Amino acid sequence: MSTRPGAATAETGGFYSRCEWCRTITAALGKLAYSLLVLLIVAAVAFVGLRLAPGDVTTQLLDPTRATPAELEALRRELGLDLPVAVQFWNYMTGLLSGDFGKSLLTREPVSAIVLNAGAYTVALAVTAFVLTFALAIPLGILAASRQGSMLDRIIGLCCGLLIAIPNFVLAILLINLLALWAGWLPVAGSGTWKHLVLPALALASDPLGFATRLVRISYLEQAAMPYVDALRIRGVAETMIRWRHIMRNALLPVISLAAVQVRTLVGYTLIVEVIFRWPGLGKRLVDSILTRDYAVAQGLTVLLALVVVLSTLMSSLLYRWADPRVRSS
Amino acid sequence: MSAGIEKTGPGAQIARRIVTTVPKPVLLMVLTFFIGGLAGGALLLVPEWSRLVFRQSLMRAYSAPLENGTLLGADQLGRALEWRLLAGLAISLGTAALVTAIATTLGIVMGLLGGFFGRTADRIVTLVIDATWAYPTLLLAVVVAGIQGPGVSTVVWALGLTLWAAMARIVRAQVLVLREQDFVLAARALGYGKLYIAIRHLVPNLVPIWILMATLFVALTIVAEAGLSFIGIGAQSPTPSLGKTLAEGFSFASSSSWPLLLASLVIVGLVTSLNSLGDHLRDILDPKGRVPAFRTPRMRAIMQREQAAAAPAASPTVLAEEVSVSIRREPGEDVPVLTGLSLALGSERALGIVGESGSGKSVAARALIGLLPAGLVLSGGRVSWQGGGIAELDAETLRGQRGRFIALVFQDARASMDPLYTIGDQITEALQAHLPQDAASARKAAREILARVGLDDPSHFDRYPHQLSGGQMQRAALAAVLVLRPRVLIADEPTTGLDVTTQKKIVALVRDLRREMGMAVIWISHDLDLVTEIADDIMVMYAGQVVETGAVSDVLRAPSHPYTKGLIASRPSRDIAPKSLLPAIAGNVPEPGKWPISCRFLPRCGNAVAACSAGQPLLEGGTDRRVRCFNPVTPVREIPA
Repeated sequence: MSTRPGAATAETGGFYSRCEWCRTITAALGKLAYSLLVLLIVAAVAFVGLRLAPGDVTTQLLDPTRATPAELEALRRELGLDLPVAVQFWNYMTGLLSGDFGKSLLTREPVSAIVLNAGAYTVALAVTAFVLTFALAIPLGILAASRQGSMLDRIIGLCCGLLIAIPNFVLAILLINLLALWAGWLPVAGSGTWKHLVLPALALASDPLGFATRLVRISYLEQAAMPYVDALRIRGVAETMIRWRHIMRNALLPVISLAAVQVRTLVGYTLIVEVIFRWPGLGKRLVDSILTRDYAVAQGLTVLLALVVVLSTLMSSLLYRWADPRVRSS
Repeated sequence: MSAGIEKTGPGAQIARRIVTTVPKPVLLMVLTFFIGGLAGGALLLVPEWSRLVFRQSLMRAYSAPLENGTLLGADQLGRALEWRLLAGLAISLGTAALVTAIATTLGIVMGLLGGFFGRTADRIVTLVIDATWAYPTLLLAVVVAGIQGPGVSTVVWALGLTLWAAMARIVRAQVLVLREQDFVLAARALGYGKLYIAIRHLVPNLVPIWILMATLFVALTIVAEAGLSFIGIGAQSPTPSLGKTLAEGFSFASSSSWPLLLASLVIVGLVTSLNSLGDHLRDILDPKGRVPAFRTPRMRAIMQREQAAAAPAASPTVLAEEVSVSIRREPGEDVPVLTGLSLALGSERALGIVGESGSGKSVAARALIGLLPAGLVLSGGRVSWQGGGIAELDAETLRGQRGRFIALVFQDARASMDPLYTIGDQITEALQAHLPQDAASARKAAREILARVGLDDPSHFDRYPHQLSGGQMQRAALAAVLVLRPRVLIADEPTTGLDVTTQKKIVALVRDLRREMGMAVIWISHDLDLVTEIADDIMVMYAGQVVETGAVSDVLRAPSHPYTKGLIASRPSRDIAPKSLLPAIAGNVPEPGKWPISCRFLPRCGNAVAACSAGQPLLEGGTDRRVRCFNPVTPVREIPA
């Protein structure tokens, strides 16, 4: 075991791998272009969708019974609503490309400023939940799979079932009552210290953790039953090598795809969890903007959050390509 | 269900399997919630009854269960919780039914459109799916709430318009598989329109997916509806949705925690029972998701229970004594697949094992190497390598011997390699596992063996398994075991999937390598001709038993067992697929568990006498030639030595 056999390929790639790099870059560019197309549709849907909302936005800002028509007209011009819809859409899209997500109708605050303020909170929360999910799911899933049928496996399975079945807002309530109100260890809601982050991150991670642990377990068991594992045993390769070098690497491939799905799930759940814990992130701002009918903010944040989902899908497919030679050369 | 025995439509079949397989408590829970939902629906729709749901009474506000004439207590406005929860159940399930109807219908239509109606349609459908997927469900719900205001219908539209994408992806993938199937190709050849085929032939095959996704969507909708109502986007007061009851319970928890507790319990109970139903349905309907529920204990553990017999004086390289293997489904319910296999392989000898599929040849190979596939157990007998029983060896010694002393190549060479590592890497790995050395010399040895098996292009070393052809892959698999120069090579139908020219090349290669390395070889095949090209001795197997053994020339010249004779008569059958019938012998090898108690070949034998149905013949004869038959074609004892 003095050298890792995997090192054998590194220096001998030569012609073959250089060609592979060309293919990788071409594929990455193709995927990027496709993602941009998806984003274009997403942005267009958000634009059209929120135009379908009842009433002109100006009537929500100024009371139409008291404001003069001149005032309404001035506001219209200021917001760019006097222009033809096509021009509005063009301005909106070119604005998006230069990072201008619009302005709040109520406070006139640029959406990009909201994103900078609130985004940090959401990133902190979502990244914590994401790391928590996979840092726990991978070892737990493998542990359960390698002790298949044991008491430990059953307990982990039961916990996953519970994590999936208990909706995260119910879990949030439970955690608030237990750890904040009863034990008094953690604050009920709000932000400021790391302690404020614990409960929302736990509530956010619960459901993804249950799914991811199950997937890792099933994927590991599936790979452990593959013929190549028997073939490796028959060639006399050591069990530790078989487990860590072969089964694990194959079993973690689906986790790459799952990670992108989980980013999508987390983005959706932040809306609920941030509201419950009054966490001043993008999700709470988005719900607030809908409830106060601040459509410009709603539209900007919606596109931004969809962008996060599209980018994570893109990254996961590139990562998958890198990890699986079968996809790489097809 | 009793009447459904004659009806064998996919729906009836699936329904029967669901009722018999899903545990009764799960079905009962789901049914209870469903009936509760119906009752709640009636409660909301009949005006006189709906008053029960909305009637406020400040006198009984915050009542605990069974207080003030209530069953489950009352909320902050004194509305009876039992009625509100029932009505909430109806709203949740009704929402779920609508969402599921929208999402599954859209999903099936879009999936069919993408999978069956041409490339342009597919591109558009995929783009729409991906764009939809970019909106997390809850995000879209919030946007829809922005358009049409909060409410239950917001939830319906938001979920219906996002969840279909998940369904459409799965349907599309399934349709891509289905459209290549015989019945679809046949229907197209007959000139039926695509729409007709889609509705008539594809949609019925999507029923299992529909059931699975519907269960999933119902559970998802209930959670999402409750969550959205909880944050104020979904149902609004005084609509008694479960999420609204929960949210109000949360707000007034300091006065009474009963509403919060009961609403949580209903939601969690409902979702848990639906998820549990979904898990069981997945086991029934999705063959891929099923993981073997039970894993065979290591062979060594079982073999340890076998008593150790003394090693024979003259020790052949590989010795099997009365080895039996069974499928173990439930403990005590073993089905034998191999019975009483005895063989002795001398060093540098070549033994051919022939027989049709299902005769137990591959199981014999796996038993000889001491590593049975999952689900099979050694139910008797003993295997020895170089005079020592392998049951007595510890795991590490056994590992050291496998690959170095005895090696096995599979029929499916590609499946025997990890898809994520290059050929060179895996050969090097096998070498390093036994003979640790520096990377450069290991690579050199790997390149040499690759060149020796005919993969002499240097780039083969860095290829991945999927980049090689079937013949190249079989050579690579041979290289991966031959790099260790094993004393015994077992080849389990290593040429079956290959074309005739490649088959011959592989056989010639193994014959040369055998001479070069002084290996003993066991060559397993259904093809008698290939075996005769390489083997000194031959062993004919039928239904888990050896029926005839002897030197190749003797057996071919004068077959003794009627089955052997039939195999020889079928010889110009090289291009017949392995599973097809042998022209000279009618019928099939009986499956394990269905072997006759008489001679196992009796049902197909043209040479049977009265004694054959009375009991099983023994494998009899001298050391050179044995046959298991009451009425042999050529009596063994009369064969001149």
